[in-house]
Amino acid sequence: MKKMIMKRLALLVFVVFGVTFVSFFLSHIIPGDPARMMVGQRASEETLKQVRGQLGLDQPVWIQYVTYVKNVISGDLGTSIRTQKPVLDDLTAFFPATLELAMAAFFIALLIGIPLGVLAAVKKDRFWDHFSRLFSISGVSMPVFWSGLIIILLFYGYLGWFPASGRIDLNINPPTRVTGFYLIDSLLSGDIVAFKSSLKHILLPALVLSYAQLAVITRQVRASMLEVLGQDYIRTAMANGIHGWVLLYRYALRNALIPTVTVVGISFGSLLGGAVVTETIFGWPGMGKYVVDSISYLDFPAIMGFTLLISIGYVLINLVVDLTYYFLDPQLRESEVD
Amino acid sequence: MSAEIQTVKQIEKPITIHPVWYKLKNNKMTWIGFVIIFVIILTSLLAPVLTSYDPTKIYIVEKFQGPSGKHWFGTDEVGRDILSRILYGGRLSLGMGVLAILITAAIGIVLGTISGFFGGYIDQIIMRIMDMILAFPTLILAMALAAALGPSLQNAMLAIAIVKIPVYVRLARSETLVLREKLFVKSAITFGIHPVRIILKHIVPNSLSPVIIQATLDIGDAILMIATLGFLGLGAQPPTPEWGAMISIGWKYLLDFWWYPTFPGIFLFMSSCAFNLIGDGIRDILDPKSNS
Amino acid sequence: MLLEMKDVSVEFTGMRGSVQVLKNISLNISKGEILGIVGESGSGKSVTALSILRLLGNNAKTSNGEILFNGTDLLKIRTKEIQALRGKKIGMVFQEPMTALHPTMKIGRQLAEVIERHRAVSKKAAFRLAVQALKDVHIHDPELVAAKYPFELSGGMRQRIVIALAMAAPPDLLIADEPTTALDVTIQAEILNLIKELNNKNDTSVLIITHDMGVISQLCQRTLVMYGGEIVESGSTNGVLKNPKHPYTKALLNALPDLADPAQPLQAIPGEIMDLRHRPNGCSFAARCSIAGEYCRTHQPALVEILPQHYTACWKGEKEQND
Repeated sequence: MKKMIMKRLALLVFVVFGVTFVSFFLSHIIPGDPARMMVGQRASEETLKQVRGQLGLDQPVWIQYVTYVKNVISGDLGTSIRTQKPVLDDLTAFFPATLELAMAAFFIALLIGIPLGVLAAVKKDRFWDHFSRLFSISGVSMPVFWSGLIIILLFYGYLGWFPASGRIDLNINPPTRVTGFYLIDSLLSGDIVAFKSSLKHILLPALVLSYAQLAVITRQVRASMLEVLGQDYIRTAMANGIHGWVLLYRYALRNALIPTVTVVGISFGSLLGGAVVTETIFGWPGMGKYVVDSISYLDFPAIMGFTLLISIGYVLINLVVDLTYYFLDPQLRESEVD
Repeated sequence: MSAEIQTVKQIEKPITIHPVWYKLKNNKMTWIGFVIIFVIILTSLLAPVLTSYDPTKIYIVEKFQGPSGKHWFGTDEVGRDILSRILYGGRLSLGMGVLAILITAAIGIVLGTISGFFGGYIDQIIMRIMDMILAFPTLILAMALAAALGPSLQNAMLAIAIVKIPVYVRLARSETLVLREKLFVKSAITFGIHPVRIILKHIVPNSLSPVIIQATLDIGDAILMIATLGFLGLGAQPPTPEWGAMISIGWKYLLDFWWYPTFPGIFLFMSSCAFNLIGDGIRDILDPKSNS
Repeated sequence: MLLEMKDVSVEFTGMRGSVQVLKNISLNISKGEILGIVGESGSGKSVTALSILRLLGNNAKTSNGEILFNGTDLLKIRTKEIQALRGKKIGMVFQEPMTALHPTMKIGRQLAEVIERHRAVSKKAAFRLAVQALKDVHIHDPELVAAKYPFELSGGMRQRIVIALAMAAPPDLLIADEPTTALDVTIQAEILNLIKELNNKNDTSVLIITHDMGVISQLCQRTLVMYGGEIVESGSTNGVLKNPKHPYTKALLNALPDLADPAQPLQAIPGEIMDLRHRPNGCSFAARCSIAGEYCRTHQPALVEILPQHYTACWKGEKEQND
């Protein structure tokens, strides 16, 4: 257990260096000039030079890198060229919205994906199996930006049931910030109106975002359920009179979930990626829009800060995956003790 | 299951028709995938014959026409025929998607076999670089690469080719590790045959089938990602009739002129879906674990 | 009669066509009796066992015949009813103890789960009964074992637990499919003694399936010999082992090492087990039989009573009696 956590943390250090190195490398082979972007085309060479000095761009590349890493370790991700604010402040302002959206989508995907996968495995080669296969394949084939548009057209344009953009109605005050998640914060402060409004706002983007992950989860649950259902102990349990829900959930699913955890972990990572596009469509004030804007502005401190945050998130998710494994598989638990 | 059932399976093995073909014949969804792809490729190749409209010619008088007998899928904000743009755009979207995967698979096989065959430092360096690429979310890295290379369709394609390399390196590497222990490879090594020759003659051909499965499954995704970059303004630039770029502009007119972003999206979805159907079918057929 | 199988046939449907794996099997077991089925792998003995509990896969079809258990035809009742019967009235023990238990559920919980299903008891009581069940199969420190996972236990221990699970109700009939094959010789004897003891104590009937003549001679009152999905000989264990009538039974017995005369070479049965897809017109054993004649290859022998309560399906055996 300790060994595993240490291993993951060591990987974290490696990733931080790797990611900063790669993004740094990238930022210096590209043709654009951030200083020029900042001061505008008409500024004099003088100003340009001055700004370069401010940004440390006049130093040799490796010194720039060392300075950057030093700053990162002390928690300073630099200043955004575009917003002129510390990158860390920007990220903490936008990150909760993205995380809330990703979590909501993740729960929808689990809530539908696991039962659908079980159903497909139990009804193999029959209607629900074919249905789940088509549903999954259409899920991974669906362009998020397009399905988002269609859903807006339908539920906002024609039916008017749900709002098309934002996190909460403009005339409602956002709840007092505790976690940064509107759904949780509004409940904490007992503000039912704000809760309802943010629930209405999150539903469509979360559904759209969850679709592709739902597909992946369904297929994985189906595959591992089929494998587990073919195992000897299931037959023993059946011969002992275990059947129905108990057989499916307490005997089969529990073990089928072990290999699913990895896939689910990876899928949470790609959720964060997909969030970028979904946020653009739904005007969700998260990091997605911030990143897209930063990328087109070649705002490298911002981009590097974001990728760093996401990559650290990846490692942490893997840690959670490992811990879940550990919780689900007693054999692993025992072998760690030795 | 019991010994008896296994015996029956063993007995059933020597069937006259090849089982792969038998399974393929019975997999309706795979066939639907093939048909869709065939139709989309055919119509986009025959675009000049099927439509008389120039995909890039501006004809402002006819802007925002709804679907009609004259313009099946309507017209866009400068009066171009959307159907014609979709058909010509199919060449770009499908072509670039396939090309991206071909490049990825080729690079992946080369790096993966080298890594697996030689091991040691070379292996360590290649695999650590791959780990680094994997530490980024795929789409975000592709966005950053496309932005860095300069937004264009070709660069979007390259960006996607790069971010997808690690999967193929890992596949080819693990196949190589298995093959390297096989007798025919070991004896080739003992005979002092040049490693490049061994890799080309023995390793690559034998490690191809998992790579092919992965590639088929990835083409759909590559098409989607190219369109996504186009949508975000990091891929094909207007007036290129690329599907993602079309949706990117049509999006602004969604609530008033629904057809504009809808039809390119349907084609995008259908092509990606078709490739995924084929990939799914092929995996089912070749993967011994998922036999039915 | 506790269990009566009459003319049961089973077919497996593969990718194309179907294979008949059981052909007109009839057998019966009375209360408290231990019946043995012996045969090579592939002879259909496991399918016979699984067909009783309707545990054959979806590709299997029981095409005719009936399986009467206390007078009810198990082939006719609804899925719900057979599920209620499994474990409660008929228990089953499988060959492979290493994989027969839920890998991530503690032993006590697994037993309690089954006990709760068959007896109207509270969760707490079920757990107490689970510990008692472990004691009944002679597991020392039952409380300790109840708190363990299967991977922490040896094969012999696990097989005891599988038996405890099957006996939890306790059932009227215990089906044991090669219960000792995967175990060490010393542990085999313990498991067989345990089965015998449970049979004595609860008056549970036992259907034991094995390829091991030793198991048969130790446990069974009556014995069936199966070949190619058919019963070729049946009778009292003594009669079948001491005075075998069917050439296949004789060959099986000859394949055993003779402890009295270890120098004697072992005799393998020539040829391979029958290809079930191509059932011959005549006797299915004819191709491997040393005494088969032309008539045997073209005419199928029926199971006839050659001695009192001793049946065999062999033309040669019948002739012997007629001559």
